[in-house]
Amino acid sequence: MDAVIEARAVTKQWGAVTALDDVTVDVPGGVTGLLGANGAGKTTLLGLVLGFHRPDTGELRVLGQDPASAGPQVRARVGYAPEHDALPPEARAQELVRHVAELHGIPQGMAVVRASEALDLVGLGEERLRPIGTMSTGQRQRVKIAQAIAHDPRLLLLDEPTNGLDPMQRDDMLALIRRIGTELGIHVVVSSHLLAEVERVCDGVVVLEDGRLAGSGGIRDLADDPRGPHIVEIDGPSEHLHGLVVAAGLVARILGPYAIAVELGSDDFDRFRDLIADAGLPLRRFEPIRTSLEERFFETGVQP
Amino acid sequence: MSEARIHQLGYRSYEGPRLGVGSAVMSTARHAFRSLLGVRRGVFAKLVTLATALLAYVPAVVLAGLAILIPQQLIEMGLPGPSDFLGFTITALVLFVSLGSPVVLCPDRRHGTIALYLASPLNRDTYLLGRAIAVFAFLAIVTIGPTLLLLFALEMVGQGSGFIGLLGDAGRAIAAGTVLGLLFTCVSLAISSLTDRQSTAAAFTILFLFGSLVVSGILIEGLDVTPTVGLANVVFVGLEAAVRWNGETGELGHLPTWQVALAWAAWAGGTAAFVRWRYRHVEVTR
Repeated sequence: MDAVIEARAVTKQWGAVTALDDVTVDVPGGVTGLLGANGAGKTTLLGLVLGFHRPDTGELRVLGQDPASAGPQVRARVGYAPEHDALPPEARAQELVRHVAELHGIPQGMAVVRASEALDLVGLGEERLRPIGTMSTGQRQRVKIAQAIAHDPRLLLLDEPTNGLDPMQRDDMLALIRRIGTELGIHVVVSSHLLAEVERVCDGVVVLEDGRLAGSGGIRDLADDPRGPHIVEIDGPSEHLHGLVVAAGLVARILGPYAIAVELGSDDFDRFRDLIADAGLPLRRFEPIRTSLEERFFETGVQP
Repeated sequence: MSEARIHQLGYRSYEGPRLGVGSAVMSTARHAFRSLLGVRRGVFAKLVTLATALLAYVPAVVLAGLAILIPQQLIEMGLPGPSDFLGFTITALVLFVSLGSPVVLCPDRRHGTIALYLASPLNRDTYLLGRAIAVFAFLAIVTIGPTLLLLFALEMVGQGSGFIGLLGDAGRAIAAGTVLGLLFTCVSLAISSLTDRQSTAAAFTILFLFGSLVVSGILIEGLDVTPTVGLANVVFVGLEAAVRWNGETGELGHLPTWQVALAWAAWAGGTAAFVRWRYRHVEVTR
């Protein structure tokens, strides 16, 4: 699948603060988490994607277009739910969502229908005529999602959509995001500082740390690095295997009576296979030891 | 077997037409105009708007009534010209200006709603254009409406200048109201761009407009400063530029038309540039 966002050496400074520093990344379709601690540059990147600002250096393309020069065309196909409260309290949900749909080019009559459909989807069908100021935090977050999807965008940008939600509301919101990304075919980029959320709903992840790219890729790819520790289980005593492996110059430790953990670099796999074969040891299990994103990026300041 | 139909289809992808930036500008103008008229706002906001508009129409209604009841005496007294008439409505106009721009600009920044507008095909300039259209249309209720009402009323009671004359008078009234409305739209948007508090912006607008009237009056009448100082008075400049469309002169009658036109352009262009500059620096995300 083509990248929906392509950044090449993008740098953005706010005065003396470097918000994004030489970021090169391709954000694929599907649901992607934009992960980083507060101040890592997530919101700045979303602002650049929407054409609110221009990169100081580097190139950015969104849905194949440069948002700095083709902002209106890009934004017509993008939905955005900002992190902060952006909803006028006196407006009714239906009225606001319809208006935002019109702003994105949906004709007046159709915008009414689209607003109703979007509010139904986010579970606010019965609340559509309520003033937004009387709604709970969870309901207001849902209104933000509804206004962002009413015009059927190709790309949806959600900036910290679970902020201020209690655990039950957060679960519902994550399920809704997953549903939008999978059932509606809308590419979603979810900004978050919470690893668990990203692991739960996203197919891919882009990790920012102090404005720099700390990592990107599929959730499984990042969590299960083929290089690193592997668990090896044989039909025999683990001490014997451990001795052979250490004698071959590999780092290993005993995990149990039949299992050891062995560190394997990219060049070690063939050597390890030959070692096992030559020793005639019956192999029962051989797989990478799974690391969670939490373990992998714990140092970035991201909260589990 | 009965026929079954699914009426609620739920969220679907949209394959229909998508309109451009012009449609977005008109949508934001329409939405703002509805707010200015008090739609979806409290009873107090509706009443204030209605009362102020009525205030602007009272002179027109009274004159039209007098033209019906005592036409001869009114002609002998002399019908008021556009200059006099716009002067009658100045209080209502200033109040209307103070009600307009703060409503359409301040809440968007205060509540952060501007982020939703700028995440649409609108940019900062086209957003401001939509808002300015709404304010201008709102001000037209008092800058153009009462004059047209009076012209049509006089025509209907036989005190007008005939159909052809009426068209000419109406055209000049619309031009004069447009000149006045454009200037006050730019000035009031600039003042409202200074704060995100609606009531503060309204108070600043009233203070600025009435303040400039008072200060220039003191300088010219009290201290005998050169009458050219009147060009610093945005209310005088607006009224003068408007009445000169009708071949009349007002408080700044001693100044040549080119100076009035230049002052009008400087006020309108300067304040429009200022509000644009202010919105270049409005932070949406960071």
